[in-house]
Formats: sequence, C-alpha cells, structure tokens
Amino acid sequence: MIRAILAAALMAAPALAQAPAAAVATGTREDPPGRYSLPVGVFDGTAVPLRAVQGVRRLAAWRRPLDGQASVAGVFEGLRAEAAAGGGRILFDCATEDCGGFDFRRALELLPPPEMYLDLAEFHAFAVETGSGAETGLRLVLVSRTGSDVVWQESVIRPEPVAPRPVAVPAQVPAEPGAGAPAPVADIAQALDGKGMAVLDGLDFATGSADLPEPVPASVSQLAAWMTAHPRARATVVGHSDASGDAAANQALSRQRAESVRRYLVERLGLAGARLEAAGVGALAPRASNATPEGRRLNRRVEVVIAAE
Amino acid sequence: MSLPDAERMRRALAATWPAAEEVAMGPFMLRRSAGGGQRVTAARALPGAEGLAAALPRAVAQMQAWGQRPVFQILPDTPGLDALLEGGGWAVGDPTIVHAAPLSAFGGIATPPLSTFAHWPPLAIQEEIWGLGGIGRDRLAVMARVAGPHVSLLARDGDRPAGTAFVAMDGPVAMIHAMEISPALRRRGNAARLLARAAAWAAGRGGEVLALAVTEANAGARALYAGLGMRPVLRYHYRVPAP
Repeated sequence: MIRAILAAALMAAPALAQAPAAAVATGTREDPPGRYSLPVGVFDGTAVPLRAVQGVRRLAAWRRPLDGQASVAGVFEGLRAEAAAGGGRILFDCATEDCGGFDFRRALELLPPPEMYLDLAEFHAFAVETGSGAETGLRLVLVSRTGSDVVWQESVIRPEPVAPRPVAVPAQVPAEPGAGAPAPVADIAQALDGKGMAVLDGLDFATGSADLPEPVPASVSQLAAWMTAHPRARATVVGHSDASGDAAANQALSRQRAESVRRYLVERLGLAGARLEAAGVGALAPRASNATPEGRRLNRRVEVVIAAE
Repeated sequence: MSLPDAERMRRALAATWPAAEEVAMGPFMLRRSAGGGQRVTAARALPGAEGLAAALPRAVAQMQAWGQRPVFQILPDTPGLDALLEGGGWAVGDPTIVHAAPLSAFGGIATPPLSTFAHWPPLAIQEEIWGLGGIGRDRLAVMARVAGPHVSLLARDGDRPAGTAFVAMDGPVAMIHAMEISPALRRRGNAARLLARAAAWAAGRGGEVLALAVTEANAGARALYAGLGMRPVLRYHYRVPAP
C-alpha cells in the first residue's frame, strides 16, 4: 500500500498539475535498475555533494512559453511549493551562481536537446526526499529557459522494490587533508574575497624549473575568472621557495615562477597585463618549517595578493 | 543549384568540427574544449539576443574558469557583439571565409588511381603531416568526436605521402577541415585532388555541397578555391583580448 502511494507520488507529473494548459512534455527516459546519484547540495568549491540510491531512474522534461503567467522563478516556486506540500523533505534549493554555475551543471544528467536545455545564466534547482525508511527516494527538479520558453526536468530515483535492501549512502567522501598540513583552499574566490590573497594550489614546479606544470591547475583559471568578475582589481603574483640552497638563486627562481604564472594569465587567459605584477620573495615568507620535507614542499608555492580594488 | 545560406553553413561548420560541449549562458553560447583552437572554444552571441554588455563579464569568466583563452566568434547576424567588443578594446582575429560549391564542380579534377585515399581512422603518416602543420592531438580529438559521417583523406604524389585532410558531413553539406600539404609538394595539384576525393566520398553519402573555411590572409588558398568554382557563403571573424 505504502509502495503504491509512493509510486503514484513519484510518477505523477507535478509540472502538469502546476500548469495544465500550457506545459508540454518534451521527453522522458527510464533507466534500468542500478545505482544512480543526484545532487543533495550546491557546489562547495570542490565538489557537488551527491547521494547515490539503488533503484530505477526516470528523467522527464517539460516546457511552456514564458509569458505573464510563467517565469523561470515562478515555475520553480510552484514546483517546489508543491513538493513541500506533498510532504517531501526539501534537501536544498538554489539559483544559478549559488548552485555553483557550470560546476553544478556538470553533476547533472540532462535529457538531450531539444528535450531539455540548461542556460547557465538562469536556472533553479531543488532536491527532495521522497518516501521514508527503506523506501527513501530522491527527486531533483531543475528549471531553466531557452529562447522564449521555460523548460524543466525532474530526475527521480525510486528505490528498487525487489532489491533486498535499498541503500542510501553518501557518494562523496571528503578528502582528508594531510596530517599537519593546512587544509587546501577549496575555492580561490572565497579566499580572495575573504582575505585578499590565496595560495594557487596544485602548482608543483619541477626542481629548478620555472615552466608551468601541465595541466595548469584549476586554481590559476579560477584566479583569472575572479579577476574578470572584479574588473578594478589588480594583483601581484608572488613566488616562494623553500630555504634549501642559495638564497639569491631561490629568489630569482621564485620570481621566474611567478612570472610564468603571470604570463599564462595574460597570454593564455586574456587578462590585461597592466593588472598583474610578478614578484619573488625566495624563502623569506615560509608558511611551514623548513626542517622537514613536507614543510619545504608547502613552502614552495605561488600566491596571489590583491593589490587594490 | 543554390548554395546553403550563411546560418546553414554555420551549423555545418559547428557540427563537423565540434566543441566538446556547447553551454548556453544568457545571450551567449559558450564552447568548452580542451585545446583544439578558437573554432571549438569561441563563444558566440545568439541572434537577436539582448543584454550582451551585462552578460559579457560572466561569459569571459566562465571561459577563463575552464582554462580557455576568452574568444568570441563574430557572425554576420551579431553585429552588436562586434561593436561591444570593439568598444572594450578587443582585437580582431583571423577574418575567415567559408567557401562552398556543388559537388559537381569537382568532377573535372583528375584523380589517377592510387593518388588519393579515404579511410578512418587516419594513418600514422597523416598524423605526422598534420603534426608538422601544427595540427596536434587536441585537433585529432576534435575529429574523433564528430558524430556524423567522417573520413580522413590522404594524397600521394610520386609515391610519397603528400597531404592529408579531414572531411565530415552535416546533412547534404560536406566540410573539409585540417587540410595540410607537405611544404615540398605544394602547388602540384594535391590540394585539388583531395577536394575531388572528398567530393566523391560525399557524393556516395547523399552530399550535395563541399565547403571549407579559409582565412582571408591565405590568398594562395583562396585563389585555388575560387579557381575551382567555390564561392564565399559565410564570413566571420574572432574577437580576442587586446595584446
């Protein structure tokens, strides 16, 4: 009985209830029993938290014209209110940048165009738990737009009825920072907003080399994106070395490494050269002890310091 | 027969040399690709879209966040974007002309037996020729992700591998990409024979038109294509950050 009610709740087309006249179903897909994941939160700077559920998955999409009665936000609010009224526990909701922009979109499985579209400039999402106990399923609703239409998709994972024991476990295990090491800066933007400086993680130069490591880590791209979002900001890229070896040579190499990063930001990512300076301070500003290999590794780094905004 | 219009050619260009992903962002359509050049990384404005100026910084930041150099493709139907970027000090990059002709235009080019080959995947020697012309692994990856019919072409000249190209179809339009002739074997008809082979290959797959893109600066190639009866059907250029 409970199962029948749950199934009915999951399979109902809430969108149609919300806008019976104008909404048009554009596509559906049923996936066979398996283990499927859906976001249960927004992008946290490192990953989108996912929850995996063993069961069957159904994707369905609708559209309706944008007009006086329908906006992206309006359709979203209607669907979310309906989900809340239905007794489901809303796990999160978010809009566009707050979801995590492209990083959030990457965690989603979408029906292909023209069934579903996602516009990175305007989308809303919420996730809701359906059922309870062993019958706990997940439903994610994503609302966006294309041209003059509101489009939305729901992704539902229904626990497999015949499975001996449906499981719901976190798919994302947070990375353990190394013992004694400072936690990695999850998000350059967060650090720049908060402290006006950040360590560019992942820039592990080869010994004695100022060539940028390939692939260039995401921290450098994130810095460029942050600079573009803050068009009046100027920054200094600062190279640091460990304390082993000749001080003058260390200073020169740290300067060259900072210059490599600066050149990449200007030549590859298109930042205006006048907004960026490069400097090297050798081993003068350690952030860990130079007595251990791990400490020396942490001291070899490139930082960015926002000079003015 | 009449040649396809500019919008049709734009779609054929995108389908036969595809980005890893196209992502809509307000008035822009962004292209995400790991390398592969500006044709698979340039963003474009959607025709008639409004609010370009307000949306521009986020579009640029998204490209940078992907590790891509910000670049926009300026198509004939989006003059507003060109003016906006011009005002912002962006430089013009690589004005390009897409040329096209009906397949029948290539019927008169002689392709002696064993002078040209069409096969997939390409041979190591073709990757070598491409590599010398700066067409590396990232562009081979572009070829590999083409969804529609596609093939590589090899020209032989005096028993030597002389040139290579890639051709793919989008509906009735066959587009040639990555045409590269070994420097020592240019001006000997190898490019024309590759075009003829491409036309023959496309004819067997319902093709009607053969097209390719060439930069305005490449006067030699443009003269060759014009001489074969190919006509300009689409012009575009890029906007890149000021040097």
